[in-house]
Amino acid sequence: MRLGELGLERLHRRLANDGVYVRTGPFVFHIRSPFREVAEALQFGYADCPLAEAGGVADFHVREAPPRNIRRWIRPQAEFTLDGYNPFNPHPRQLIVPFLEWGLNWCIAGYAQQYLMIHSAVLEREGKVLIMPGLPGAGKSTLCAALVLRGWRLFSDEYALIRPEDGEVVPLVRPIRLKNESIDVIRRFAPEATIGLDCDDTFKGTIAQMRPPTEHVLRAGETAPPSWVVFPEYQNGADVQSKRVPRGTALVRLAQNAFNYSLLGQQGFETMARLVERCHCHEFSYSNLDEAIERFERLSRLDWPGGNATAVALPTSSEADVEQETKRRAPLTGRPVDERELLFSALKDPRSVADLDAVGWDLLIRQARATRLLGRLTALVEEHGLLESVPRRIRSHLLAARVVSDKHEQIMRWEVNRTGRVLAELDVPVVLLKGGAYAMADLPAARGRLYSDLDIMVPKSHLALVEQTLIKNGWRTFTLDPYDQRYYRKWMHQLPPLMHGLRGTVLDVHHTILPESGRLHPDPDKLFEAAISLGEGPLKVLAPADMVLHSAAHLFQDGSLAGGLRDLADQDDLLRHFGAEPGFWEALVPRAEELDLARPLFYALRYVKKFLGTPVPERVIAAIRPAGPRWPILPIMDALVSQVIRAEHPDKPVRESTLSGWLLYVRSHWLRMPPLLLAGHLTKKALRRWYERDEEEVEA
Amino acid sequence: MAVDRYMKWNVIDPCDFRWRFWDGQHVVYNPASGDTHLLNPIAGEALQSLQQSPAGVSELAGRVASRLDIPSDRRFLEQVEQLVNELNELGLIESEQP
Repeated sequence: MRLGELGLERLHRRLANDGVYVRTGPFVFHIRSPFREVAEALQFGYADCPLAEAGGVADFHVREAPPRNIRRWIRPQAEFTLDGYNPFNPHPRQLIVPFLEWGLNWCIAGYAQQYLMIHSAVLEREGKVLIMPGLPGAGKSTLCAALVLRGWRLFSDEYALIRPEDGEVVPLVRPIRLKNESIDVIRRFAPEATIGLDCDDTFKGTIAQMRPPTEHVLRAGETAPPSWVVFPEYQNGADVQSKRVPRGTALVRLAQNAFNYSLLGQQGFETMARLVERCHCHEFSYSNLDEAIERFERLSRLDWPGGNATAVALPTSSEADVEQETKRRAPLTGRPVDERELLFSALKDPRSVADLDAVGWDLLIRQARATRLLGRLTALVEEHGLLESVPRRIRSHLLAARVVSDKHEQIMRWEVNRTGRVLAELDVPVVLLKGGAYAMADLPAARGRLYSDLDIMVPKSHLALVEQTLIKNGWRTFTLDPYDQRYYRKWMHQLPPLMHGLRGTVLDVHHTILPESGRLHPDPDKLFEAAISLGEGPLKVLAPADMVLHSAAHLFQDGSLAGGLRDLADQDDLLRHFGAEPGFWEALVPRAEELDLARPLFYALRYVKKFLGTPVPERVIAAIRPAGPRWPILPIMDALVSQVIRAEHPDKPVRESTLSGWLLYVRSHWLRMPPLLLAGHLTKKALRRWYERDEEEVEA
Repeated sequence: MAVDRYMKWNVIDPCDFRWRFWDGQHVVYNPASGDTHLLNPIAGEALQSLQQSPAGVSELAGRVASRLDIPSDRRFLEQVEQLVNELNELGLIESEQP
């Protein structure tokens, strides 16, 4: 069934309730919205798109709806959400249609890493694909619309989706977005074009959508090889000119226009290199649309070599896919999925995912993504040889997550390499902490991991020297506020974060593992003494027991437990890995007592065992039990941790989780500073925020 | 940053560069940094030469000049010196440990 067959009223009702599952190109979007304008926009621009089965599997579950605050009534706003996450600030109600389109683009650019994605208009003629990348204002959408109106098949107005495995371009046929003067240019160029209502006042000016021809939407499953890369540029008064671009330059310009070239790493380079090798690459300047189109017509008739293949009709998607996914689900309809246990089960026993139907998988992917554990889940699925048994649409998300985590690991390893080289000239031990240590020591906790920064620890006595050396070599501090500087240097366990000027990476230089203002004070000298060298050079990692204790201290003593499932999963990994080494378990509790970290270890062992089934020996549990808190703290902690650690259903947020999260946030501050210092700190922060807001208003 | 002319330079370790040579342009992808570099003929030749064997700045200038058939004078030596500095900052080469 096509979306347009629903009719506006039914479409509006469905969008406002369970939503519709729309197939566009290779993606299925589950869209929900109470706004009639959204129904009208979909009815106009997506009428020919097939509808996938309701309640089934989608690549992206999105919602365009009023925010849950007073702005739903006063100067009404709306917000775009993906799985409960808002990538944009709330926007004025009249902009819901452009924001929905931008939101759909954001989903694709952010997550469809199975393709090399180039910001580009894409068209096809006689089985050959033309890719037209261009910055805003280059005129690519205008050219794209005009070429479609002259018989070129629309692939996309926004994205060249290149399949790395064979270099084919995959269509993503959606409405063409015309901006400002282009709207009238196209109306004059082809009065028969179906162009919708203008939407004014967007930050890109006025936008109107041109409906793609029905046949182009129906042929959205037909891929084709690329033959031309043309960089268009509208130049007022210029004659039509076309100039060859050297392939090396073309590759770099395409990479600059790509959403994920860097993310794809070597695969991105090889795919892009193959693309420019098989294409003619040109710059194209024009001012008169008729002349420009005539030139394209002529060029398309010439046998520009490159793509000799003809478009291959693939099974469009879709029906076959849905059918397969439905079949997988059918025998399992009687087995209820415990939504909040789903992710735990998969992490505890990855083989359990083999029993999941596509709908269960759909939820698992969303939960894993929200907790930054999708890469880890992918690694587990691959390790257990289960990847091939995963439904195709789901598998693409796992593979995309692997692309992202591989890139994160590459960046982390390079950062360790660069930092290690700079600090090698000093005679100072440098201990890698957390993710950097897991990666460089090749520990299981590095599997599929997402990294945000590199953490190192150096002796406090050498802190100034290390900081100077780093700054001399391109790092700079970006916490410039004098209060923050003082706060870090006096009370924290690290310097203010440093950022590398060229690479943009963040480095945290610690001198111990917990804030100096906090209640627990592990002796850093003992950590340095036991640290293990990574070979030649100054780099070390913490000893196994210390690594576990640091992770436990970070989660239960220094943090609010927001996003804590990932840290708990680290602890599970570390304990399973080191637990197999002789003497580890015997040394763990005495070491925790020696380092003043028995309480965090108590919590860590309690909760990894409870939630992830970590095989902690009973004798270790018994040994750490005296370090636990007194009644009623423990049952309260159990209740709070249980709420924040469990992954929610993204469409059904649990109110208790929010409250628990807030209470644990308060707890984390309580543990970080003595009450008087905390009161002073919070007052200072509040006053500064108030002062800054005042200044902003004056400037405005 | 000034380059010590007597220091020997080598490509980074491990080095797994991916190369393309089109239309007189070298394109090199460095998997360690994830960066792609578009190099002119002199830079491309210099990096390829260091990939074959380490060299000091003077020796490198001689090798590149001979390969591209250009005079290896003082100006060219300074040019190669600056190039070595840039390749080092980009993380493509590093000085050999003494």
